[in-house]
Formats: sequence, structure tokens, C-alpha cells
Amino acid sequence: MSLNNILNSLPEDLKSQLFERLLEILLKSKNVDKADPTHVVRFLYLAREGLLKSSECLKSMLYIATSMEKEETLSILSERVEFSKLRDAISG
Amino acid sequence: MVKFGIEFVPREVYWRTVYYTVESEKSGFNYVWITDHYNNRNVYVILTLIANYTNSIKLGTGVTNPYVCNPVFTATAIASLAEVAPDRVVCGIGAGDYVTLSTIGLKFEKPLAYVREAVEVIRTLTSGGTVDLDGQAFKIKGAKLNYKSPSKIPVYIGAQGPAMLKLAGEIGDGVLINASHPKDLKEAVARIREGVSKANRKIEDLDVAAYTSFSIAEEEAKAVEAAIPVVAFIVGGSPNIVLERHGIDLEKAQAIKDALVQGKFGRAFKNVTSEMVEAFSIAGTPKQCIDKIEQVLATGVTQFVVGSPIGPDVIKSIRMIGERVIPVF
Repeated sequence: MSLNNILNSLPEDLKSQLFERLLEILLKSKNVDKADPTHVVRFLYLAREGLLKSSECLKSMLYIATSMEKEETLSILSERVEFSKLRDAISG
Repeated sequence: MVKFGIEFVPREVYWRTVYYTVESEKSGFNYVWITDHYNNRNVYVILTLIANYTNSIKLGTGVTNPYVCNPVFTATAIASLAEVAPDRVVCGIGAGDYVTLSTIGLKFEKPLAYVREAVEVIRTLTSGGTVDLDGQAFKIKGAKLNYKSPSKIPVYIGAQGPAMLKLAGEIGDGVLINASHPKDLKEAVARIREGVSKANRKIEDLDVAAYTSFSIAEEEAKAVEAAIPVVAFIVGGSPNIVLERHGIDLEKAQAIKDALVQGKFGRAFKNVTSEMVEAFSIAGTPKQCIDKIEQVLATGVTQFVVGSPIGPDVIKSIRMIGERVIPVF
């Protein structure tokens, strides 16, 4: 199952929760030099378009967060059973 | 109707400042002001990226400096930015602060001449004209850009002292008053009016902006704690006349100035008193901030700029202002 499909299957409240947790990593991590530039540009583009909580944006945020703080991102994805497929997809 | 601006110091990687601005635009802010200091990311690079990822928010240097940056360069940079975002660009310019200038070996001399002449150069060049200037600050012979700005670029003058405020009233399209307290703003607006009268203009011709040090949080203590470093730098750059107006102990203020010049920031921050925070920032809960903004607007201010630090958590503070402060006005 692709990341997009997994994210699409999440209910909106869980998408919001995931967005806030990933945003915290994006804005507070000290490893800014590790942020994936391609996904950073995609994230900003989707933010401009008002699509911050879309599956596509969450996917980019997941990639950025993983590149900056892999262990913390995986830990967030371990907090809820609904995120387990995301964790498997990211860690695999 | 009052306008709301927000200031960002681009000390973080570019995309965070861009994202903060995207959120600010969605939260109802009308202007973003990006500071221009040699030790942070370049203001024009950041503003260009912001232009690319936003739709309507106005983009300003907050503020650029004629000692550090020759106004010919400022003109070409700001006109190029206006090509990216026509009708959205404004140029904030000010004489700067003693601490930063001394760090890079520049003398704070003839500030009125530097700012007046820089404004003339920027206006002439961005509108397609040729500059021949034998000034006190700049000697320019036949300078002309190979293009011109597609739209008029309003020039805002950053000011705090009485003479600079008068100059802003005389020649500025706007003025960015470096103050947060109604007492200072009332005094500033009076000086601006003197300049306006001298030039036979109307105060309504100017956008009078209070460029505040602002910090908002659910808990007052957290908001105040976040404001302390910024207040230290304001105290460090404030003339004695302003410090005395608020009953600030000049010896304590000098101790902060000395510590900042020596780069001993922790010592400077420890010397910040609650009186200094009250005088030089708006820091508190949403309700407390709304009350203080109302007092600020009563002085004749037409734009309220939420300046650094914004709050202990920038993104939460931006949302808080968008949801609970801006709608009140």
C-alpha cells in the first residue's frame, strides 16, 4: 500500500493530529541541513495552496521530518495503531 | 481600518520564515517586514521566496540600512523584488542601531543626511530616473537602472528619535515607529505631525506604523520571558531621552548596552527589569494584548506591527493573533 493510500485512509482528526506533530519537528528540529529540499519546496507550495492537511502535504512532511529526526518521527508513528502502516512504509 | 503587520528576523533557515509568512497571510496579516542584518539570511532572498509562496501580503524590508547598504543597491534589489510581486513591495529604511553598526566598524554619523539622501536615491532610481547627488552622505554621478519598478514602491522610514520622526513626517510614505508604549507613540506621532506640517502634507498621507516588540501566550509569564532578549536589545539602542521618559535607571540601561557590545548576552538579559518589559514591549495574554493594542491605536497609529519575538511558540502565537486578536479590530 502506498503512503498516499495509507494517508488517504486516515480520518481527518488523525490527519490533523499527525500534521501538528510533524510540524513541530519541522519548525523545531536543529537538523535543518538534513531537510530534504525537494519535499521542503513541495511543502511550501501546498501550504500556499491551502492544502496543508492533504495527504500529499502530509507525505512531504513525513519525508522531511524523517530526514531531520528519524527516531522521533518513528516514535510518533508508534503512538497510534492507525499510524502503524505509515511507520512500516517509512522505516522500510 | 487598522492594518496588521508582522516582523520576522530571518535567523532560521529560509523555509521556516516563508512558512511563518504563509500562515501569517492566512491569519489576516496585511504586511510582512523582514529585518536586514548582516548576520542573518539576506532580506531580499527571503522576501523573493515569500513573494513566490504568498498571494497578497505586502512585503517590506524592516528595515534596511543606508550605512551598510548603498541606496543604489537597495534600489536595484527592491525594484527587482517589485517585478516578482507588483504592488506588494514597500521599502523600510532606517539609520539602524549603534550596537550592530559598531560591531562591523561603521560609524553612526549624520543619520538624517544618510536616510534623507538614501530615500531620494531609492525613489528616483526605482521610478526610472537618473541620480546626480553631491550629498553629505552619498556622491553619485549619473546613476540609472536599466529597468524600473512596475509599481510605485512606498518608502517607510524607521524612526525613534525626534529628528528622525520629523524627517519621516516630511518625506516618508510611511513611518515605522520603534516603540511599543502609548507614551512613546503619542510623542512620536506629535513629532511626525511637525514634519508633515513642514512639508505641507496631511498626516492621512502617511501610514503610521507602531513597530512593536510583541509576545503573546496563554500565560503571561511565558510571554514576558520570551520578550526579555528583545527588550534588552531595545534598551541597548534607546537614547537616554526615551529611557528617562519611562523612569528607566540609566546605569542599569548602560550595563545592558555594555554587555551587548561585549557579546555577553546572558548578562544583558539578566539586567532587564519588569519596568523595561512594560516600557518596551507588549507581552501578555490575548486579552492583555488586545487592551494594549487599543491604547496604541488611540495614539493615531494606522498599522500595528507584531514584532519580535511574537511569542514563545511562533506558530501558535501567529494562529492566536489570527483567531483572537485581529478579529477584534
